[in-house]
Amino acid sequence: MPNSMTITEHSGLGMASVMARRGHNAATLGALIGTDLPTGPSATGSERVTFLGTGPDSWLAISQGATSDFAKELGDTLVGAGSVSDQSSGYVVFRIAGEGARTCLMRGTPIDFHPDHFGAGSVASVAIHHIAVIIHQVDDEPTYDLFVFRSFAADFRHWLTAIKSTL
Amino acid sequence: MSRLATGGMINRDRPISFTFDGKSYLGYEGDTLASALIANGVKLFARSFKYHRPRGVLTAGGEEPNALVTIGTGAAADPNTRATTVPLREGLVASSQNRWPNLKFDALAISQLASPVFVAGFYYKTFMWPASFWEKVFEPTIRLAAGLGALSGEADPDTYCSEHAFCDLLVVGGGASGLAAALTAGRAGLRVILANDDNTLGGRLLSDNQQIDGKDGPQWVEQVASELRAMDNVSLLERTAVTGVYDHGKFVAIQHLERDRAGSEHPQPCQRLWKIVARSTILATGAIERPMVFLGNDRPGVMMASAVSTYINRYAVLPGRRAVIYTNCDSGWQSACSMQRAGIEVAAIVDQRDTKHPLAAAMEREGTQVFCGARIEKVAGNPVKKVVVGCKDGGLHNFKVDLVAMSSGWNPNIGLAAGLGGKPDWSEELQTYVLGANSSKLVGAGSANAVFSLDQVLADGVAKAAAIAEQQGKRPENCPQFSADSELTSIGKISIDTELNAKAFVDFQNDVTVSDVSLAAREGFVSVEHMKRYTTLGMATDQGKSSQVNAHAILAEETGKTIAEVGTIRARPPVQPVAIGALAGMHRGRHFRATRRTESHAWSEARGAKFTDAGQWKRAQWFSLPGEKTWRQTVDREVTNTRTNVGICDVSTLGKIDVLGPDAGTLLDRLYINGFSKLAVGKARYGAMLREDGILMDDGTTTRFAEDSFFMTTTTANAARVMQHIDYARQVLWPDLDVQATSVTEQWSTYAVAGPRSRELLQSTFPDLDLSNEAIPFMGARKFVWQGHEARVYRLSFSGELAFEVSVPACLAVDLLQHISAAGEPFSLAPYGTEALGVMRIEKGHAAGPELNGMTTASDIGLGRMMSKKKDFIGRVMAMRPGLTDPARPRLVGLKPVDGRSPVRAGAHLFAQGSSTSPENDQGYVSSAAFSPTLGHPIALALLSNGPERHGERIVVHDPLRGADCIAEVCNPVFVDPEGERVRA
Repeated sequence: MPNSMTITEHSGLGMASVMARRGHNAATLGALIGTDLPTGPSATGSERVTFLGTGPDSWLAISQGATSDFAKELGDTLVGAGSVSDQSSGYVVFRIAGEGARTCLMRGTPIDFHPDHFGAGSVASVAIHHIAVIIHQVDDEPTYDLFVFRSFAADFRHWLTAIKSTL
Repeated sequence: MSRLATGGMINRDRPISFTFDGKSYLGYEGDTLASALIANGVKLFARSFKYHRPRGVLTAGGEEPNALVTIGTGAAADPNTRATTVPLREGLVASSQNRWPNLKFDALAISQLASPVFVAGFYYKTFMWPASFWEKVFEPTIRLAAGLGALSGEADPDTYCSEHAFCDLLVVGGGASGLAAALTAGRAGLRVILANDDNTLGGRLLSDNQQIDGKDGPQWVEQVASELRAMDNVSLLERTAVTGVYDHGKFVAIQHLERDRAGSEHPQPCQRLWKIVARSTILATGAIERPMVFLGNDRPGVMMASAVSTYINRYAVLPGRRAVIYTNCDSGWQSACSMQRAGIEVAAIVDQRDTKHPLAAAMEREGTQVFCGARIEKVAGNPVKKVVVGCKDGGLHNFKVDLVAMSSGWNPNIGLAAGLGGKPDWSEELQTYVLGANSSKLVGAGSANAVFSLDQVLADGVAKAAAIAEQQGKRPENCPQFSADSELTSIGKISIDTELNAKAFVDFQNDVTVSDVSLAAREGFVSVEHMKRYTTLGMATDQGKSSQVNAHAILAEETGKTIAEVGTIRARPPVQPVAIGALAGMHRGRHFRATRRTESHAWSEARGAKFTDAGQWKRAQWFSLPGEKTWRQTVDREVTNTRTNVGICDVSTLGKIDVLGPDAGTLLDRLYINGFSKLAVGKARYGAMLREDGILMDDGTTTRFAEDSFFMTTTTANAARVMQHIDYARQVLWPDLDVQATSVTEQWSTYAVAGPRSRELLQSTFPDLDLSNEAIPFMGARKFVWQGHEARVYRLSFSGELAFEVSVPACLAVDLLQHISAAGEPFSLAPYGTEALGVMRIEKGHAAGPELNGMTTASDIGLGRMMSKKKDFIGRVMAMRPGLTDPARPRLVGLKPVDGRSPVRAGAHLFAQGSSTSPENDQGYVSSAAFSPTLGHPIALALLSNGPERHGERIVVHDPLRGADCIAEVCNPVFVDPEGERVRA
């Protein structure tokens, strides 16, 4: 199917928003964590933690293995260098994959998702159906993770399902 | 039947049945509604807007002014649809409009008899008195008589969607030049989008007998289209009309989709709204043929010459058997040849020009009479039966015909260009408006660029695309070259007899005649824009596509100016009609905007909650128990239970913001009117913040969890605004401060557990947690661990009772609710909703939304003493303006009815006893009101001039909207436990 798309929902991921304190930046925080932090709208990280660039000197950190202490541990690592807030419950993560996923996003938000402009590792903060969404392209299939604030999840799920039926 | 046995782009193996005005017909796949009806011998399609004159089909495209029909029935009906663009599909139901009792016999056609008085401006001049009658009598009556199709008034069952696209080159139009341009750019490697609004690619190539590279037009189109389809970098958007262009090269287009898609169980959208961002754009939108103006030119059977060619060549339909052609240009002759080849007897060609056309001799050999320098004097019959041709020498010639084909040259279809401010220029040589010099953002190609000969049209498309490819740094490779015949394209000067009386139409859709335009000029409406509005010429679905230039020519004649001096009107988007549903897309009904649900939604629903909207949030308003008959009964019980036992309420919708960093306290000092930098760790404080202009913005509590860690709450309504305010303050006003802020509203679910038994309940729920006054005093806060996650408990009270707020990560919210409810029975725990919450805060005199209404100051609602004098904060200086510190401003008080029963309603105004209830005596208003089950009588909060000094005074509560006035006593706004002992229990 040229325009097929799968939708799955992730739960239980550790998530935290991270902002650099004065005098700190991607490099200094990265040094403390032991991984590179992105300096723009893209994703970097290790097997264990992914950092999405969400704004100047701010990131959303995602832990693959779920631990309830993720944000606290990250905060301890970055003490004095970064401000960390637990968002593990704040976002619901929708994973969409398949050729239709790109079309799906083009039906939601005015960003060019052509592979030449938005490839694996790209990140964007957008609005879809009047809902704030952080988009992270995971791989070239393409697979995208969509981070949606929890209270909007039911409406976003409705939108996603409705679009899938038009692919 | 007038269908040809062979030819055309219809599929004779796929017959399609449809109905028009209840009668069944057969057409073929590839037909439009118009072509299929013509094939069935139908000539009468519609009644005109104003005079109810019988009308047929004028054109074969989107510019059609006459043949507007309603497609479908009931809620799904699409009125004012152009029969010339609707592709025929099985079971299609079409009906005519603006006629009663039927199309053939229309009672209101009698209005034609009165047409001499229905001139431009008639309604404005006639229905002047009495003025009040215009809205109530005249306009509704006129609207009933005149008009187009009607909406069903029901919800549209169709769905619509949208999509975004990006490209290096947008080609608007899929005719010869558009295809040539797209192919050139596609081969050069540009990302190309070709949008074509017709049902099929090809444009004029489908209508004329033209050859390219030795192939028939449609064959060439298919060859180019298949090469384009094979290119990854080219998207073909078929049945897609580009309707507008906006700043930064953003285009809007409407695509018509297949409604029934095999294999899909979901209803499919019928239209898609495209928003296309293009680096470059080629306007290959072709041209629109101009009608001739003569008496009876609107009769069914009078058609555009090119449309006749289209019906013959594309749809294999003969619109008539014997025709007269009336023209002032070479294009009319070309159509004449087309008709003759197809077997239509061309009785005469009437050319306004004096010189004999090169094709004249050949036509004469076929028996056609050729008139040069001649005019059609009159067309008679309905449908057309007779044509009277007037020669230069005054001689008249009658022809019995059933078809009149007319052509007065072509207007490049360049309305889109006006969207970017481009003004078209008049070309005297071409007798039309062409793309202006300042329209550079849109590049014209082919006949949109006023290049009309096919060989040049193709070359123009290739050249324009190649130039754009080079501009964008691509080397045009393998540029196509096409060979085609050159065509004669000369045209005579537009010449319209301004003495013609009322039956010579300029604008068919709005029934505007030559004499209407002349009258407008005589009455001083000499600007084209004024003439348009006075006569209504150029309005409605066709936007004057065929009428504009002829009207300008008449105006020029009447005012003694040239057409260039008269100018033309500014075309505005959309250039094609757009259904409002396409703009709404999926944002309709419940999904007009997103809904936010709390984690307790299902839990509350199961307990009989009725929900209310708080911004985007759904909040439980109250929880009805079986047997409760009114909401008041429920709310009174919830309040009483909370004040005597314990209640639980979801307060998760409050905005929550982490304010972090070494300078967090300093920032909060500047945001709030009161100080926070000295707040002890583990303590919460109520704070209020002002706008820059000194007016109250929001309030809430902020808790300090560490030296560099504060947790702020905002009101539900202002959460986003406060977050913006903080970001503005720390990023723009004081970037030197080391402070970070993040919304954590969605992370935490928070429940107020309030009432004298709240401590007991929570103690039994969390046995390891010390909830004593020593461990967690009033306005204290602490973190604890619950189910392996960080949880928080705050000793805060909005109800005025001993109360706690328990906060857990949202993923644990339902667990927490179940955990607390399970332990709640011995303590008579009951949930309460926003209504009881509101009653209790009014009983306690707490200000909320109705008091923080964008007009009040901190002093107005009794927070004046909180305003720190030791520090600066946002709004401090402006709050000291005399107008904001005047003690006579309306300030917060309580009100209770003197009789103990009369309701005091929010919104009512306050007057001193004995003064008249007129605006100059107004002393304030009631902001919040409730029945207090605790006190057993109605209470209210109000903003009253000099209020705090007037406790004990009796005033009049005046409510002209909802009924009787009552007398109330002004009192302390804190009705319950004014000493605040309960919260400290």
